[in-house]
Amino acid sequence: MNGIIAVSGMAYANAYIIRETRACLEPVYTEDVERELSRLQTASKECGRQLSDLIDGLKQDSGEEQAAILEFQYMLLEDENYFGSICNIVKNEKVISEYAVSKYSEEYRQELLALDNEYLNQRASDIKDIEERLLKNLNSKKDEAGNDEPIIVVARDLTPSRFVELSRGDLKGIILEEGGLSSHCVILARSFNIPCMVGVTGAIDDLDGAKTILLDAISGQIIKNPTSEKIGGYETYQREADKVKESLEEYKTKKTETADGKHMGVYANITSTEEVSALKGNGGEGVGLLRTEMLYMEKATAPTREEQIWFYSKIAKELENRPLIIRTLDVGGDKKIPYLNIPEEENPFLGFRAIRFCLENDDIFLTQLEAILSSCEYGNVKIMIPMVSTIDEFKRAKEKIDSLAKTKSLNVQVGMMVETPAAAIMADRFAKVADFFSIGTNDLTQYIFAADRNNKKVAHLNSYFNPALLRAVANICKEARKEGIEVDICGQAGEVEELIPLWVGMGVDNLSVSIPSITRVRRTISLCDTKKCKALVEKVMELSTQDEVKELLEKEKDKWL
Amino acid sequence: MVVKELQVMNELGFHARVACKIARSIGEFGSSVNLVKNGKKYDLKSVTGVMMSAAKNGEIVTVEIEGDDEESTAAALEKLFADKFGER
Repeated sequence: MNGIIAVSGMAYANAYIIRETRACLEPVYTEDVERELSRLQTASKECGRQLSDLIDGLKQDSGEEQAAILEFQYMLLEDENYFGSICNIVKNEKVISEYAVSKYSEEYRQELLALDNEYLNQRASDIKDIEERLLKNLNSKKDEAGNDEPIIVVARDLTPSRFVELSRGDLKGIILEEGGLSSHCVILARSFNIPCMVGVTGAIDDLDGAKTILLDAISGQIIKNPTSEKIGGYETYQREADKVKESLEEYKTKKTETADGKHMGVYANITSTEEVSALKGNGGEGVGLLRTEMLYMEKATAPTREEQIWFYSKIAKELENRPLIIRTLDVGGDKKIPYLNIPEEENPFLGFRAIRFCLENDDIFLTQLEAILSSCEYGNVKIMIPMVSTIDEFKRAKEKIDSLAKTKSLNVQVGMMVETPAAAIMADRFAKVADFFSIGTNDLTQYIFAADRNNKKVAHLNSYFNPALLRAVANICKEARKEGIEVDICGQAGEVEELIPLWVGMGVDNLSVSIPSITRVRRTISLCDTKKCKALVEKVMELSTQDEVKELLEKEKDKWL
Repeated sequence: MVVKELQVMNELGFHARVACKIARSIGEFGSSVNLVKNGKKYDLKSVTGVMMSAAKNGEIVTVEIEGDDEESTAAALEKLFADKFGER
């Protein structure tokens, strides 16, 4: 079995195979109509029970609008037009329930999508939801929630809610037949640090009947019912991993301080509400980057203001006043979101994306800004603008925010991602208009070296150790300090062990990292002495190549301690 | 049969929450309740019917009520509309 490693690590546990029923689009005939009708009733009852639970939860969570949507789904189960039609298809055509559910849902969806009414168009996704819920419950026996035994889940793909359900038990690993590296499930697996492989074609059939599975997401192997020899290898690995984990345990609750007592914040980058518990569990001090693209990518139409308010408020509330930096929509021609109508471009990374797109699309941008502002009362919310390259762009975005904030008498900090060379070079001027900087090292690096990070032939040029990047970061930090604004790093470079002393030396205020790295980064910071790190930065600024930088950092490894 | 002309007065018109409320409230009555619009009939005892009629804020809709309890059904319906379905 081949696949792509999405979250590295190893796991050995019982196999837990999820066979979901996909939409059944070809008729499957049956003699036993009565049995089908009773299956439908049972599934409908079970759906109703699940929805009631969800609705109660949402009402307590003040997700009124979402609750109303689910209530609508609940009512569909009792509806003559919807559920009644499904039953009639079974009766009249003598087909199995799955086909009837899919057939009528699809018909109804098309009817909704054909209407000239945006709100009703959006309801098509509710029909999809209820269809999937019915299909799932029609086959619930094969997919019962696991007990408390450790499991490795094998599935086609997992929805975020299914992931959360499973992670409440003892979830050790995930094997997916589909799922790209940026799928929602993979993002969650990364945040919860659960070894995961994706794109494992045929995994469900190949692992059928397996009692246990050894998932080696380091060398990329999946072994069905492994021998004791293989298990031995895993146990050795696990002992080492446990040791590391244990040594970092104390850093979950410690304050983040350098060796000479200077505070630095260790924040996390997140994408969804589900990650907040993991962030808190690992001692994250805030969210340095909340990506909002997923909200837009998972739907057939733009998320409504209410949906967004619910999403931002829930995270703000759960963070209990820890800072929450929300990045406004960062999309472009490389991310396919049909309803946004962004044309395909030859160079999407240099194209019509992020703030460039938002400034031209008030309906999308203002809705998001309004929703973010409405969530301010629930926590410590700040707004961050991505992909800024001119002062004018930033000012235009800030004006829009200010005028909306004024109507709510709100005072919200508006900062920017520093990720274009233009912003890095003009950092002195940007520092006068922005309330804070957050350096997006991933994009800044690829733009500085003009090297596509997804192009294998040139990706090697993108080195965080190259003085070109380090000088840019140093300059951004210097200018931020002059104006007295905070400067964070929210890119991958922020958690690279060897570079952390440089960030300390440059005076970075907060590092926003992936959730599993929080404790490790905090420990490294605690080993750094600010003065020595400053001296190290000065030396690095004199160097010419990435190899020289690496060599110096290796040589002086013990000196900044 | 009773025919009523009623105005939709809540801000958002017939959206999900309102659909649930109307269908639930008048579902208890025996009479049939249909909204007639552009020559089409929409069953207001069904959430899908209410939704598909897509009545908007300010719109005046025609509703036909027929059955043994048509008078009391019509009264209940009028009250729902007058209360803006409990919304703004």
